[in-house]
Amino acid sequence: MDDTDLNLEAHLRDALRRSRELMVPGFTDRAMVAIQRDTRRRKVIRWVSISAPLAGCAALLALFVSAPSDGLNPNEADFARLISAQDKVIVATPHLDDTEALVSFVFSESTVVAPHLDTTDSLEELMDLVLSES
Amino acid sequence: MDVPESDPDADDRRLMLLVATGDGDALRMIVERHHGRLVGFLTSQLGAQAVAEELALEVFVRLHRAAPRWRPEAKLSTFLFHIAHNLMLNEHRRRARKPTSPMESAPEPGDDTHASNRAVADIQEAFLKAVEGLPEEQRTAILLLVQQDLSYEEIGKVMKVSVPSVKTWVHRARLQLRKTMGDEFRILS
Repeated sequence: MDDTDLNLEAHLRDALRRSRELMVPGFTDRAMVAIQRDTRRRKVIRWVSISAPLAGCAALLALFVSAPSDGLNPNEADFARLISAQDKVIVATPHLDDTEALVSFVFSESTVVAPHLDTTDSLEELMDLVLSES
Repeated sequence: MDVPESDPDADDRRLMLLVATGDGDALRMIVERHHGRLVGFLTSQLGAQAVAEELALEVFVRLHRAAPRWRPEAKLSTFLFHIAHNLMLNEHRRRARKPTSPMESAPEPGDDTHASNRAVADIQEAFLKAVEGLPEEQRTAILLLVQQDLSYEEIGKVMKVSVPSVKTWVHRARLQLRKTMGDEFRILS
């Protein structure tokens, strides 16, 4: 290292040391507020992540417990009429229409799950599948 | 709360154990002790103190989240610089996606009025600009070494790289600074 290099190194050190520590008035208070806000936000997220599935389960339970046996929507009634077994059919989804991708049936005490159904399948096609698999 | 004057690193460890139990006063003391260096480091990295302060706030938020899992394997300051380094990388990525306005990265005006002070300030300003122009790894390594007095080992922990990598970056940074500053430095001095 020659003199120029040493001077360069010293000036570099001086320049960087000048901004080594920047004390900011009021920073600690701001940090404590930010930390408290983050703590509250994480508590809310935790509660939502626990309560949302519970609420969903409760809603489903209420639906199955309170649904009258003759309270089928038109598609469900149509579906039940087609297979002539209304009293033995439970449609797991509360509202069956052409956009449902997964339909689960309890039919004659056996379960047929048809996840491979295309969303554009008509009700008749759906019925063919159920009858063939049962 | 009474923390006796002793080894600062031992004090940090004691304070962090208290923070893990939810002690707000201990957390305040940690923020008070470390925020100056973090803001200084981040300002040198990002060029704008306002942005640096926001990132430094986030560093302490993350420290608080990590407190229950924190193990005193390294110095607290090394851990804080590691969080700051990661946040700074995110900030650089954000800026690369969305370029900042000239206002955001404009240097803050100085208050030097004397001609001699001006010359020194000019040299220092030129050095800071040269450091800002270094590639990210070289800039971080030289700042942590020269500005923040971290050892090569500590810098390796902050940047999650090996010591030889750190030494290479520091060496390249010095070469680049000599090249960039050489002519300007001779004129100014």
